Amino acid sequence: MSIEIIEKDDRLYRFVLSTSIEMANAFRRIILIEVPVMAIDEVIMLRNDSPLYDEILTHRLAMIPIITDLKNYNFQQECSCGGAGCSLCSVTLTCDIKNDTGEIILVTSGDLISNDPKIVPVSPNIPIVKLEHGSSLTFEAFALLGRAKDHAKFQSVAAIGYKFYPKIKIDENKCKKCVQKCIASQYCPKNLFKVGTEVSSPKLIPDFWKYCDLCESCSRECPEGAINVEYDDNKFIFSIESDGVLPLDTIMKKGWEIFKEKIDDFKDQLEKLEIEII
Amino acid sequence: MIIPIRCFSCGKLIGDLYEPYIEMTVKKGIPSEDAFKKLNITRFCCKRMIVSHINLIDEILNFPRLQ
Repeated sequence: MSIEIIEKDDRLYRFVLSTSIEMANAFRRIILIEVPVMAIDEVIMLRNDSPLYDEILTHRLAMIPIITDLKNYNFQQECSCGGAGCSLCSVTLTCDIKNDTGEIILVTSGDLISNDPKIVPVSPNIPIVKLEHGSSLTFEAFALLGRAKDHAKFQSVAAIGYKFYPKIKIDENKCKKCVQKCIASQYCPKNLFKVGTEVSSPKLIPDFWKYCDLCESCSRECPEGAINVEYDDNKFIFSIESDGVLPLDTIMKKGWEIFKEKIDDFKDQLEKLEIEII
Repeated sequence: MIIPIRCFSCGKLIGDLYEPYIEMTVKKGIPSEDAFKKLNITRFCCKRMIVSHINLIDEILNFPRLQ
């Protein structure tokens, strides 16, 4: 198994993973479902004069992505407080706003005051609700660590997916039969063929595999059947897009850690079973 | 009512991108294709969240609950 990085951004990661499809899909599912992330889980609403009901407001609060610190926080079920909620497993975010400006104001995620200065919403500009003159909004919210298999608000990535590594073969002997300029290569929706003026076999640009979607429009349009589109069984182009709740390196490392733990657990369970081999 | 915080389909944060989008397209007249590129919105599930949204909360605020 090896990883080759194509593109690295603070929010987007693209890499080639050389492994079997089962491993690749397990990795994808673990990152999507198992990596723990913080989100608001409980809200005590003290005063709400806004046009939104308490439940809708609470749901909106839960959806706000919060920057997570995996080192210093535990799961509430596994915490030493026994699930009651303490400073080791939950973060309190408070909001106390009264609109006496005479205009309509927008309450944003920047108005949430956290008791841990590191655990704050990803962006301060996320709109929560609008308040008219004279109304107020007071609540106390508790953010906990959770896994996305319990609720989508605990998702660490916005999108994760993989595609096959393309292998395109061009048969030059068949190309010689063609007397005109290559038509098939002009049908590529991503323009991955080199533009040539002479009658010869088409050439692909060097890093075509980064962009090719295996749509097969080139092989379908070729009158001689010279272009053959295939894919590699053991190579996948992954792309991970993060919300900003965790750095992408941490997501990857945590993903592999969980993967290893799961495999070890599976091994232990297998050894406990007494299977008779015939 | 008010712009949803995350995309319904993929879960990308789009709540904070609605205001900049309206600023660009309605006020400055930038084509929405270019505005989406600047805001880093690539998937069509996230685009429909913004394009099809109507901010009804402004209408509802004209009828205050407190009076």
